[in-house]
Amino acid sequence: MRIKVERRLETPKFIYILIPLASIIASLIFVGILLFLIGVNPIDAYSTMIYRAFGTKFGVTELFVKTAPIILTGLAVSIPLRAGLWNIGAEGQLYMGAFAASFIALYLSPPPVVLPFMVIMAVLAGMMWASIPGVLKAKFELNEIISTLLLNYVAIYWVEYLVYGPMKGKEVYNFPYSDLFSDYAILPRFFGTRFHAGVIVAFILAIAIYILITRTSYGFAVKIVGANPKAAEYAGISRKKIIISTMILGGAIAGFAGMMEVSGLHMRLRAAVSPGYGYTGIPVALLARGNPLFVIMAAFLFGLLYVGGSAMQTTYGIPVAVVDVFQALVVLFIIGGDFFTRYRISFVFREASA
Amino acid sequence: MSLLLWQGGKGCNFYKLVEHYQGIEINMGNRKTKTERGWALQGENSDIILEMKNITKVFPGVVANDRVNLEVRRGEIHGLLGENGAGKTTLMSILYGLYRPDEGEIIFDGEKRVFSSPKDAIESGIGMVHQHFMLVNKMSALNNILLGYKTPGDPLLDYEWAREKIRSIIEVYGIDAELDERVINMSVGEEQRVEILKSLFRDVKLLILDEPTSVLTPIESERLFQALKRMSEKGLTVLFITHKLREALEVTDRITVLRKGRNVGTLITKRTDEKELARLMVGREIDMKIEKKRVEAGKDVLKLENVYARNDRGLMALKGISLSVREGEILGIAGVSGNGQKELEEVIIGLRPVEKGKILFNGEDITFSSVRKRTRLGISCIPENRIETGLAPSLTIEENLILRDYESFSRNGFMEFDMIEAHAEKLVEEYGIKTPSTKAPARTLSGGNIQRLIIARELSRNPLFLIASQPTRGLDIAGIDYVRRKLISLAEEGKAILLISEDLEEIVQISDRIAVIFEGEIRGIFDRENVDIDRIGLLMSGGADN
Amino acid sequence: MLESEFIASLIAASMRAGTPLLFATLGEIITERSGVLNLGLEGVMITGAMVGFYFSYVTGNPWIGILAGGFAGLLLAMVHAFFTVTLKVDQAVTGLMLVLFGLGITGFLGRGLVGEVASYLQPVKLPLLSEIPYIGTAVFSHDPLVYIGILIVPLLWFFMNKTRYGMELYAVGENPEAADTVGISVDRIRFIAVLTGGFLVGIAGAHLSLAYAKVWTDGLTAGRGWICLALVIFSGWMPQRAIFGAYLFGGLDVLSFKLQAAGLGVSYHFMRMVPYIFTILVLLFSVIREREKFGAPSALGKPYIREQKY
Repeated sequence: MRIKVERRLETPKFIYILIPLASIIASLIFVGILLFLIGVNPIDAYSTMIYRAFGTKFGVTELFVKTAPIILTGLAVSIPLRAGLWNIGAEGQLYMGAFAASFIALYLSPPPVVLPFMVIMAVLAGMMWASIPGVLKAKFELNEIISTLLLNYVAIYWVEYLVYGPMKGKEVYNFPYSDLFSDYAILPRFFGTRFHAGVIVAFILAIAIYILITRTSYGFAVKIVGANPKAAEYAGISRKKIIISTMILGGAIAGFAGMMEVSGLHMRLRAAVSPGYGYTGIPVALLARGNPLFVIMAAFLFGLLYVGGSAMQTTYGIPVAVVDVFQALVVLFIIGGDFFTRYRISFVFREASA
Repeated sequence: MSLLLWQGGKGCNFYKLVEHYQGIEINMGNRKTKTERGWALQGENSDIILEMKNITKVFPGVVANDRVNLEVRRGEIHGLLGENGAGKTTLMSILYGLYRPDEGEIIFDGEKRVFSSPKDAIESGIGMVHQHFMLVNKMSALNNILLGYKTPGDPLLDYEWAREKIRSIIEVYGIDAELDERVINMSVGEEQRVEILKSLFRDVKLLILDEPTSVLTPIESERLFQALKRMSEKGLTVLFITHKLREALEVTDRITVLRKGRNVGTLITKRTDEKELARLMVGREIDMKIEKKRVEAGKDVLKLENVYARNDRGLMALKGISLSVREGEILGIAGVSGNGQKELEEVIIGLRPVEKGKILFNGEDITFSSVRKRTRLGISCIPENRIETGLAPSLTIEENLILRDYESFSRNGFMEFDMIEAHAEKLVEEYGIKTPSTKAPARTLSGGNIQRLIIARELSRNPLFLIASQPTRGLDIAGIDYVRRKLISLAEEGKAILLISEDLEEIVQISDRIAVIFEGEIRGIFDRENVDIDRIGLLMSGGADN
Repeated sequence: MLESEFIASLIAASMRAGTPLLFATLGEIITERSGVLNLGLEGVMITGAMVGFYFSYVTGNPWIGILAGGFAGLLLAMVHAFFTVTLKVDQAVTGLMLVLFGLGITGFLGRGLVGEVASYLQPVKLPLLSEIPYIGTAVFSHDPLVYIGILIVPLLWFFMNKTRYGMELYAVGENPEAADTVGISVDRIRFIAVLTGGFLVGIAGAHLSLAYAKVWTDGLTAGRGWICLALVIFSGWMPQRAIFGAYLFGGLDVLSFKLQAAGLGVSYHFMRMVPYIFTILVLLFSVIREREKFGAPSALGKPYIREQKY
C-alpha cells in the first residue's frame, strides 16, 4: 500500500468552512493541554474566558474595544497582502500613529480642532512609516518582511525613549508615561464604559475598504498585482505604484489605530501602547483570506482571546502570551489544512507496475 | 564471441567500445552474462534494451498515457513522434522515474524495473536530456556534470579524476564543452552538450533526448545529429523525442508514433515517409496549406529606428534594431530563442526601457510611453510566455478577459460587473473557449484554451497592431491551424502584425516579409517572393550574408 | 592605555554578543542555501534560549542546557520543515507563525524562570594566549562556544564548497528540478538543512541565555532573529562573511551599554534603536550591491513539487 497525493482540480466548498473551524478547535485543545500541564483546568479557564467576554456589559464592550484595533491592524495587513506583500509592520505603524497623535495632544493644537488634527497626524505618521519599506521594496526589491519588522523595533523603542525621556510626564513617578491628555483630545465614550467612538470608525473603515478593494478599479489592479505581478506589468499596471500605495494605505489605517488607542483608551502616550495588535493582524488577515468583512469576524475571535487572556491572567496568573500561542496554532493548522484544499490524498492498495 | 552487425552499416566501430566497457557486467535478454571482453550481442531477441508494457498514467482529468507499449533495440536511434500533448514527455518521465505509472511495467536491460525516482533510472543506465535543460546556472559545466555523482574519495570531490573521465568521453563521442565556464554564460547549444555529457558521464546505456532541436539553429541541429549517430555507432541507444517529422526521418532507425496517449504504430524509418507519419500522428490526412492573400501593404504602423535595449542581466540584447511593420502585412521574425526576441516584444509593448533609438507608432514617438498608453493607441500582444505574462491564472476567465482594459470596464472608478460578464460571455462564445463557466479560474483551462482566451482578449480590443510571440507553441495541430488562420484574417483586415516564432516553417508559411534576428541584430529581411530557406538558416546561426 | 583597555573590552564583548548572532546566521545560511526560507528565526532562537536556560537550571550543567536549546530549535525547525518541505505550504507564513509561537510559548512556559539563576558557561582562558596584553582579554578569554563558533565557520565553508553534499545543497537551493533529475532527493536535503539550521539557531538562543545575558527574561532575543535574517543577506550566504557581520552587530549591541557606562549622556533607550536602523541600512547596502552579482539562492522561498504538469 502506498499513499497517493494528487492535485485537486476542484475543491469541495465545505472544506473551506471545515478547515478554519477544525483549526480553531484543534488549537483550543492544544492550548488546553498546555493549561493542564501548568495545573489549570482548561474547561474552567475557557468558561471564565467566555463569561468575562459575554457575561457582563463591561465584558461585551471590552470585547468591542479590543476587537477594534485588531480590525484595523487586520486591514493594515490585508490590503498589502492582496498585492502579495507582507506588512509585518502594522505594530510599528501603530506606535508611530500613537506618537504623532500624542505629540499633537500634548503640545500643539488648540482645543476645539485637536481631535481631527490628531487623526490626520496619526494617519500621516503611519503612512510615512509604512512608505519606507514600501519604497525600499519598489525601488530595490528589499524584502518587506524584514524591513517592516525591523522598523517595528525602531518605532517601539522610539516611543519608549520618549516616555522615559523627553515626553515623560511630570506627575507619573517612575512609570514610562506621558502626562494625561486634555479632555478635548480624548475620544468620546459611551454607555459609561470604555466603548469609544473609535470602535465605530473601525467598523466603518472595514466596510469602506471592502468596497475599495472589491468594487473599484484600483482594487482590481491590486488583485492583479497580487495574482501575477508580471501579468500586471503587461496589463499596464505599475507594480511599484501598487506596492507603495497599498503599503501606505495599510500604514494609514494602522496609524489611526495608534491614535485610537492613546486617545480612546490610555489617554496618554505610554510604553506598550499595544499588546501586539500589529502582529495579531497577520493571523487575522490570513484567516480572512484578505477579505475585509471576514477581517471583522476574525478580529472578533482574537478580540475574544485578548479579553479572555487578560481574564485568565487576573484569575489564574496565566501569562497573556498564551494568546500568541493560540494565534500561531490556528494559522499553522489552517495552512496545514490548506494542503487538503489543494491535494487529495488516497490510499492505493495495489502497487503500480509491480 | 561474435559481434553481430545490426542495422546495416552501423556498429563497425566496435573495438573502441569494447575497451570502454571492459569488465562491466551487462545484462542481456533474460540472461546475465559476464563477458570476458565486455560486449556481445546474441541474436535478434537479445537486441531489445527497453520494453515498456501497457503503461498507463492518468492525471486528474487527463489520460496522458493509455496502455502504451514501447520496444527499443540496443544501439538504435529510436524516434518517439507525436503532437504536443500526445503523451511523449509523460512516457519518458515515467521511464526516467519522475512519474509513477498507474499501470504497466518496464523491462530494461533484461530486468523488470520499478523506477521510483530518477536515481533508480540513472543507476540502471538511463540518461535524459530534458527539453528545458536541468542545469544549475550559477555552477560551472564541470560541477553540473559532477552533481550528485560519487567520485572516488566521496564525499570529497575528485576533480582530477572527473576531468580525466570527461576527457575520455569527449574523445570517444566528440561532444565538447568548456568545463570551467559557468552555465549562465553559455549558448543554448553548449548547454545541451553539457547535458549530454552529464548523462554520458554516468555511463548510460540509453539516452533520452526530449525535443532536443527546438532550441537549436539548423546548423547546430545538424551537429547534434552527427553526434547522435556517432553514439549509436558506439553502441549507445538513443531515444529521440520530437514532433518534427523531418527530423525523425533524418536521424532515427525506427519510429514509434504516439497519438492522444496511445501507441499507434512503430515503423522502420527507411520504409516510411512523411505522409504516413503525419497521418499516424494526427489521425487524419492533414492539409496544412493556408494561404494568405496578398494584400497591398499600406503605410508603416510600427517603426523601430536603431533600437538598443538591455536584457535582465544588463547585457545589450537589442543592438540597433530597425524595422517597420505595415498595414495589412505579417512581418515574421525568424531566429533561435534567446537572440533578442523576448526583449523585442517587451520593448514594443513598453515593458522594457529603450537604451537608444526610437519607436514610432503611426508616426507618433512612443519610445518612452507607458504600457497603458501604448495599449490605448491600439497595440495588442500575444506574449511569448502565456501563463507567466499573459494571464493571472488564479483569477477568473472574466477577469482575465479584461486584464488589459479593466479601466474601460469601470465607471467613476467602480467596476461594471454586468458589462464584464456580458463581455466574457460574448468572447467565450465567439472564440470557442471551452469552459463550464466564465467565473472559473483561468488555470483550469487547457493550453489551447488559454491561447484562445489571450487571442480573444487581444483581438477583441480591435487593435491596429499585434505582436504574436510564439503563438502556436505547445498547441496541437487543430490549435495551430486556428491561430494561424486568425492571424491571417486579421492581417487581411488591414492590421499590422509582427510574428515572432522559432518555427521557421510557420514563419515562411504565413509571413509577407521575413526578418532574421541573430544576437540582437536584424541580419536580413526577405520578401515572401524571394525567400531562400538555406540563407535564412545560415543567417539564423550568425553566418554572414553575401 | 585606558583607550586600549576600552577597545580590548569592546572587542571581547563584541565577540561574546556576536556569537549567538553567528550561530543563528550560520544556521539560517544552511537553511536558505537549500531553498527554504525560515523567517521563524526569532521564535526558534528564543525557544532555544528558554529551553536551554531551563535545562541548565534543572541539571546545573550548562552544556546540557546548550544541547537542549539546540534540540528545542531542531524541534521547531522540524515543524517548519514538515509544513514547508513535506506539505509545501507558504514558507513566509509558517516562519512568521513560528515567531509568534516561539514568543508565546516561552512567555507562557518561561514565566517561572524569570529572575532565577542557572549555571552558565564559564569563560575559558586559553593557556598562554590569554596572557598577551589586551589581545588576551579581547580574543582569548571567552566561553568555549565562542571558539566553537569560530571553528564552525571554516568547517562549514569546507563542507559547502568542497564536498558533494555541499554541492548538492547548493544545487537544491538553486534549481531543485535539476537536482531531482540527477537523482538527488530534494525534500530530504531540504529537511536535513532546515533541521541542522534549527539546531544551530537553538544553540544561538541557548548561548544568549546561558553565556551572554546569563538570565532568562521574556522576549530575551529582542529582535536578534530578524537581525540575523538581514545578516544572511549581508553575508551573501557565505559563512566566511557571516562572522564579520555577526561580530559587527555584536559590537553595535554592546556599544550602547558601553557608551552609557562611559557616561556620554546618550540615552540608553535611544541607543537601542541604533542596531535596527543600522540593520536596515546594511540590508539596503547589501541588496543594492548584490543586484548585479550572484546573490540569493534562486529557488529561495519556492516549494518544490515534482508533478507540476497538472
